[in-house]
Amino acid sequence: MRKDDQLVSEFKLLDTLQSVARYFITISIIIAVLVLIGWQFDIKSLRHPFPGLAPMSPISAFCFLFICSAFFIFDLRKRNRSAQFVGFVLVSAPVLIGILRIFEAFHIISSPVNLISYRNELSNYDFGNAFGPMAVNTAFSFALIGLSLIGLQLKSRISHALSNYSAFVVFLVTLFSLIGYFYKAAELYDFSSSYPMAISTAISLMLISMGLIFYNPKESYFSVLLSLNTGGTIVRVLIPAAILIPILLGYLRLLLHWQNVVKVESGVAALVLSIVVTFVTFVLYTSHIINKKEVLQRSAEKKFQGILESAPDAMVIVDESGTIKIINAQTERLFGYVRGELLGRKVETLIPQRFVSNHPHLREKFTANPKTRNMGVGLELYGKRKDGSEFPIEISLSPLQTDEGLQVSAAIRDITQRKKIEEDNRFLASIASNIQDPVITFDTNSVIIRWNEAAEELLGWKSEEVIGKNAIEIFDIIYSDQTREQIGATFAEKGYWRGEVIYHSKSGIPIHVIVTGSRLKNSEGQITGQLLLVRDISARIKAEEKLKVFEHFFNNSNDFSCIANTDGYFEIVNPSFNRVLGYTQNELSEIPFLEFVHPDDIQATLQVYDTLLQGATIVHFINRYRKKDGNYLWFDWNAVADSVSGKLYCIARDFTDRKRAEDALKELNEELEQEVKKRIREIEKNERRFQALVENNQDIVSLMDDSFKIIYRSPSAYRITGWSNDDLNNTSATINIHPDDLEYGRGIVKELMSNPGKSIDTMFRNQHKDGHYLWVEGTVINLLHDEDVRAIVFNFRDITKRKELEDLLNKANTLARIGGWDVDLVKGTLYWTDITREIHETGPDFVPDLETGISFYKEGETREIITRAVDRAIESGTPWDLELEIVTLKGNVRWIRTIGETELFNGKCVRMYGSFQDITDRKNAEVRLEEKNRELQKANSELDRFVYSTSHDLRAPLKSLLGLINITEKSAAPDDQSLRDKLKMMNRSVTKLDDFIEEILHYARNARLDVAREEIDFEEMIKEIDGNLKFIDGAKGLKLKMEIDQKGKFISDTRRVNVILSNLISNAIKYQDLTKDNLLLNIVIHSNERNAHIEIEDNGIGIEEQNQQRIFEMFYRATTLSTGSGLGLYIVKEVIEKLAGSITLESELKKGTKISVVIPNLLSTLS
Amino acid sequence: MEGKNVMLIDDNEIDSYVAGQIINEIDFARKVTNMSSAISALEYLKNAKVDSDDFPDIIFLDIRMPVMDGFDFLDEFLKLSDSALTKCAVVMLTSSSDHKDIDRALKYPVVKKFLAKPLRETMLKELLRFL
Repeated sequence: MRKDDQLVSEFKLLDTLQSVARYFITISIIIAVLVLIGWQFDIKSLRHPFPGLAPMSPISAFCFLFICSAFFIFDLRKRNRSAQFVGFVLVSAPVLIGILRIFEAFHIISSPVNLISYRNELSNYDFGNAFGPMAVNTAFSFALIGLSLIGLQLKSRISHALSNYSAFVVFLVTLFSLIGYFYKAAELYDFSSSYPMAISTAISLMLISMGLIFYNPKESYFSVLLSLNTGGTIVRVLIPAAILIPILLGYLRLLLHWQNVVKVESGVAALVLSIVVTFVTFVLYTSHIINKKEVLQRSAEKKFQGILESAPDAMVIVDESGTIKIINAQTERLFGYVRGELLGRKVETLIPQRFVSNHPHLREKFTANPKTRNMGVGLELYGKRKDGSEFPIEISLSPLQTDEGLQVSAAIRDITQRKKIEEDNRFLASIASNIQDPVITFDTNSVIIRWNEAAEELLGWKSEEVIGKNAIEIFDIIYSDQTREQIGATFAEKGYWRGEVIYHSKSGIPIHVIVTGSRLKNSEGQITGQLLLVRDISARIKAEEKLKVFEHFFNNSNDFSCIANTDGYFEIVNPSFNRVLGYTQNELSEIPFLEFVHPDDIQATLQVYDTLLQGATIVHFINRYRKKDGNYLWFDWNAVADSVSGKLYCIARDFTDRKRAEDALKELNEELEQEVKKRIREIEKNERRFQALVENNQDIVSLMDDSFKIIYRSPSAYRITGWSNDDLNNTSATINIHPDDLEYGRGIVKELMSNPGKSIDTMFRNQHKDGHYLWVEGTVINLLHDEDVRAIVFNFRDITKRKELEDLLNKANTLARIGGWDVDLVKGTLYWTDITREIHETGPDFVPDLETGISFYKEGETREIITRAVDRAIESGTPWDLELEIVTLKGNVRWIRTIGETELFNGKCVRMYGSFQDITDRKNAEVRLEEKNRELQKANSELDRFVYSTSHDLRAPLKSLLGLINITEKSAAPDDQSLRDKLKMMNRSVTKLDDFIEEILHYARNARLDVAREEIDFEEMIKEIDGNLKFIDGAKGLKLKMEIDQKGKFISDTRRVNVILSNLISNAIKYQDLTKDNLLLNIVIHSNERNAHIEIEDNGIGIEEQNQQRIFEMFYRATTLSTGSGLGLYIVKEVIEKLAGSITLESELKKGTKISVVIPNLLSTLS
Repeated sequence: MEGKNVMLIDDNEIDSYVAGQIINEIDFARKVTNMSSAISALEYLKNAKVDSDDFPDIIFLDIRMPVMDGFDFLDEFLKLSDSALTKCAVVMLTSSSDHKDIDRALKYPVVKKFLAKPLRETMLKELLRFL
């Protein structure tokens, strides 16, 4: 545009100059015509306007007419050849006249010129000396002017230039003459001394010469007249001044001289001074203008350079020949050249070899039609670096009109990155569209932007229904353990959130999902929205629920269930097992289970164990297990071994009926409460475990080529399968498939290959790097035909854990005869597992519904109970756990346990599910057991009454007798020693009988009664015993020393502890060594939260070593001094055993005896 | 106070005799009344005036007796006036050493002591201090 503007301006300028030329020449014609009129009609003022000076000759006037007419002919816009010819004829006349006149003046020929026209008339007039033919300088000027005009018409540049110069010479000649006239210096205009150039002739010639220069100054130095640059301006302003000012100054000088105002010397000095001033002024003015222009130019150049260098693209400016003129720094960087290496080289240097040959042709095409446009639209363009490497580029071309001609500027952009991003985008988009999970994106206002097919499938809304709507309107979400606000906070802090929630589909069905939310950012890092990845985990949740039901059974079953391993240890035992045997879970799992088996049963147990390992199912195997208190229980075992895991699944039943004590029911209640607490803890623990499982679980996306070689795997693949990408390099993905699943795998491959684009569900085993097999489940789709993917996409997850749980559940259920059921209240369907059907004795084709399910329950109260439970569950979601009777399809009455759980949606029960167990055998056993218990209780209380009566009735007469002996002794005469001795003997004898009866009573009670749990204050107890024993003979001489240190509560059976202490202390009193002076009895009792240590030490008669082994035997008496029945220590031992304590004895004959007893503190057994 | 008014309730005459002898021996009581059954004892107590000399300070009570045993007697005895209960202390004197009996007896507030037969001097002396 600028270029065009400039061109337009130049044209305008030229136009103006040409108009000026036309005016000048028109003036010349007018002068010539006026002169001719003057000659023709003898009008002196026209013919001879300046008296005393030479007039213009008529020939000169004609010459002017010819020249000016020719000029106007040539100036015609439309001129034909004949007009052109006429022009040339007209112009050649003055040239010839000029040449002839010159020849004549120098007497070379006798000119006929002056004879032509008005020769005679001229001679009639008296011109004086002034009259004469055409002046020589005039003739010379006409010849040159004519030639100049001809030169203008020729097409060559040189002729144009010569034309200008000729005109200029004429201009100088006329200027010379005019100055002569002006300064009255005849030598200047009349150098031939005879015929001077007339002043009007000089003026006309000058006008014409200037006109010709102005008409076309393009090819000579006068072209500067047209220039819009500084030079042009200066020329146009200064040249007229440079001509006029010296002339005026000179004239002024002369004027002063003529008036005799100043002296010659001072006049010249003033002239020179004024000329110097004028020139200096011109020079300063010129320099100033040039300087200003240059500054502007330089800053423009700088700007241009700056723009060029800061351009984001590589800029290459090339001239018409394809030579590189300018490049910017980006170009150096992009192509790897240094500036000097490229400037002056052909632009083809930057183009790959294969395009070079055609490039100059393309360049020419552009130059022919220079427009700003992108190069090679629709083609892939490449650049070549110095090192020969190529890269994709985009080029935009623009033409650049410069003083040096047409140049082309090329903006080159490296699009490697963009191409890669585009490829990546296509690749990612293809993965995203093939992902089986819902992917949802929102903008920052939670408005849904994207909603893929999987989301449509899972949640039920079509994408057109939800896109553009706010997510809050669409989603009905139940958050598991965090509120919406908490999640929001996590999200704000970490930029993502992952957790388990329940969505509701369009039709309101709750769906358990794991959601991963993350922020979407644009390239500037601003948040533009959110991305949600949703994983449907309903299947797993259902498996977990089943497992929970199973665990519920396991933990609450009255049977003893356990899982043992082939190393001979228990792995898991249920609480019943612990409870009955009295061991802790640790004790049971850290000691080989054979250690618990009765020594006599070990052989048989080992045999059964072997057959079990060979795969047999064991039914009703009986052995004895030792309890913590040392007693044995009879167990009836059912067991099966799992050949894969090598685990033994065992269920035992305690049929040690007598062990069911009378307060079993009470105890059961208390323990049930504990079990509930324990169960809650177990469930919580399991929930945490499953959560961890879920969090670490991720899917694998894997892309394979047509030979099943892996081309892409998601990062989770390495973590889950153990195979790194290097491991699988160049191998087929199928090599890790389990040999048993290979046939299945081949089927899948076949289906895959024959159904491109079809998504196929698969499940098989795949080998982990460490050798074991993983169960994987997923979908595989053949997208080899899809240009963006060109792969088989396999999206799968590790379900080994779930498979194991399912297997375990199935095994356990089969063994325990636990079935499952599931009622969908929305659809109104009831589903039974095989075992549930078996228990109902229905065939596999029987289709139950809720009503028929209830109709199996025994009519009457039973059915009312289950109906109420179901109604309550539907109404308020209350779960149930009931033991009821059903009548099977075949009419058999069975006891079952039914557990019902509910699933709520909006406070309404939408689903019920639970378990169903056949407990007929257990119920029957319980009924029998209860009968036995009642009988036992009756027998026990009868026995108790009997013992009480007997002891009282036996002892009462003895007490009376003792009283009588006592008072007789008092009333006896003091000197009647014989009577006193006899009374003493009677006393001893009666006392012994009484003691014996009491001991038998103790024994009977110890054997019959269970251990009580009461708080014991040892100090109190010892005081009481001491008080009772005071009446024993010999108690007085004894020096009693007591040390009792009781730390905290001590819980045990008060009466039994009393029996122990009373017996031991009374023994110490009875068996004193009366030969000793100092009779001692030391009692030391230390108790803490675990147990009590009791030491009773005397310096009595002691026990012979050989007898020490036997003193705890029934009726054994170790000394002849014994007055007892031989039951005392036996009872002590029995009681200590009952309390699970221990007793040790240190004794030396005649030195004394020390007995140590340890009794456990039962504090920890209290709830 | 010079000696106590003591009542012995026991169906066993020998035991009553032995106890009476021991009580007299140490001048424990100024008066000893023997009751051979709980019923007659209760009859007596109902008729006696509490603030009179006839009303016993201490009752020695056996447990196993025909028709009305010691515990039946205690239940009835509690129905007497408050002043009677404050004035009179009951001491169990029995050949039973069964803990059930001891525990049960000591639950009655009027029962101050549980003694095993036969009654001895030392027991009485201690009882005297205790009361």
